[in-house]
Amino acid sequence: MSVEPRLAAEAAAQHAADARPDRRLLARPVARPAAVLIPLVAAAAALSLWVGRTSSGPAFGLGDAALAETILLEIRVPRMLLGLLVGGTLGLCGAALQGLLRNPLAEPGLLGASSGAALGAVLVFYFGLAAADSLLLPLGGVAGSIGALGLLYALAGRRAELVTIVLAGIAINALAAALTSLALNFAPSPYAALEILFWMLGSLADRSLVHVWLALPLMIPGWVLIAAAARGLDALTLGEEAAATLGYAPARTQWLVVGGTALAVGAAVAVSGVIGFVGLVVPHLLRPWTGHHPSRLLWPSFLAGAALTLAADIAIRLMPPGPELKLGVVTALIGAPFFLQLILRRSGGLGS
Amino acid sequence: MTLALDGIGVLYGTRIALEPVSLDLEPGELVGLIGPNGAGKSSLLKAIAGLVPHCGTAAWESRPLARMKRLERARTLAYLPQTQAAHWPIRVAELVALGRMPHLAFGEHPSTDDDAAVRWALEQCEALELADRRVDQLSGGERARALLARALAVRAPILLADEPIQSLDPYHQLKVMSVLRGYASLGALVVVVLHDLALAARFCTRLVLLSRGRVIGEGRPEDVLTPAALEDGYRVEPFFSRHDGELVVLPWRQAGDAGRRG
Repeated sequence: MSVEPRLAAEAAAQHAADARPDRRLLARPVARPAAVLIPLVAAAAALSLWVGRTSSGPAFGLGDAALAETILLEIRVPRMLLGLLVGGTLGLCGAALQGLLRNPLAEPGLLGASSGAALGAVLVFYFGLAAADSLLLPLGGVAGSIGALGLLYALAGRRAELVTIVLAGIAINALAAALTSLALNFAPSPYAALEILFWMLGSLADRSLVHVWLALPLMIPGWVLIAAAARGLDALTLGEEAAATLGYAPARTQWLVVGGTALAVGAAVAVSGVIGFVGLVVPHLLRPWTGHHPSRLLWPSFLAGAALTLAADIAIRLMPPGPELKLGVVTALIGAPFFLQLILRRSGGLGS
Repeated sequence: MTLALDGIGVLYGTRIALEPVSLDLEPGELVGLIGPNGAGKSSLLKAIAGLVPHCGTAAWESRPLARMKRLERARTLAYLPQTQAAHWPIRVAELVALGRMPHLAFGEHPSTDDDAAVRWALEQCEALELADRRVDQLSGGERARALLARALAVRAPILLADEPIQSLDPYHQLKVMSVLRGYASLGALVVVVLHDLALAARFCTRLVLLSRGRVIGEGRPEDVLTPAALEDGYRVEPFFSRHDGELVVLPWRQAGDAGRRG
């Protein structure tokens, strides 16, 4: 049974190719973004190990080799790794969701995974468990994001339309926000409320390698699911019917992206709090550079998200002494005006 | 090699969109599905493509399409949707190359064969010069040609097209129809939903006339496009003529409206 019956077209195509072998129509997938972004990420990671809040450089101020090693291995390495993983996850998931929804305004928080994770962590604070064991905080976040995914699945159903999923995500976001407010409202003390608020602003400070090991087992399957959806995202460029007849059923692509995002972003939020705008701005910036091809945008967005997050975290450490700025605040401060400018340039003004 | 439709029917909720249809469609044919709005043309096309829940089976070479592996089915049947969607402003060559996706294994990049298929498809549609343009910078006719090339690039033995000439100027209507006929003449089965009776009569080798979810006529255009069938199916009185030995059919006036002109 021939899989591709030999149409006379085969011969015609061969003839056309032989007659004009001058130029390939399909450029090989370019390595250009990676060639720039990988060194950029490496530089940001190296700088992240170098720059400290109170001292910088290989000697770490005091000249005590043992102390320097401790600072490097137990403070700066985990912080650098988390910046890399969290930033990369946000960039990757933002690109995947924008591809799925075919909308450049989608962002990783859209489906409720990050607000679910935030709620999970807030509940840990609320019941005073964060002091008992610092690991309960990220665990609560992970549980929250998985709970949000489960709720999304229950609300939308397996063969749900995209719009149903987005609406369910909005409902979950609203519910999680309401419950978070409730926890703040009934916080046992003003100090506890402040702690919750600060945690939600997002930060990479005071994390250890344990946080890395906690997040990775969820992030890696999340990345794998999204990588498996890459072709499906390309097919969706032609709309859902054409994608289905190209062998990439939209429902499958949809759940790969939704599940992957919920796992990876939920894990990211669980260990770092809410860090906004990275997943929105990064794919937007890179899109022209990857020929607007949804699948080619994924890994460059991972790299650029990592570089941007590391850079923002380095900037925080370079600020004058005082209360440390939270990472989520910095990304929003940079991201929001930048994004507004992108929208304005895109539409030629708000009015049009 | 035959596409055997056996009792294909479509139900939307409790409304019968298409009563069970059984037909054998042969390679080399350009089959026109015609009929008034809501007759079930698109439902039939979508049921064959497996896009809507339906009863009955569509089998190619005696194998039900629904039971083929997903990429094998995608290589067997190409579908050109009515919505001319291209959601990202990618290059036209890249857009057409999406038609090669069923031929690529996981992680495999397009080969020189795929490149040749894309070039061939663009040439068929007189769209080779558009290859490096961005999709969002095309006119309506150019976009239709690019998307048709995408469907041809699959090189499937079955091509289904849902109203491919809707909203195109006369030049592009003729262009698209002749591309579809050319593809059928290479040995493919092409099934196309049409509203234009004149083009259906001229280009199709076979017509299936549907009305109210039922097939009311089927065969060569001369045999299907009779005054009685058109009055029954479309509620119009046709104008018939011949030009260069070919049948010309135009809907002339609403049926039962003989007193008035127009």
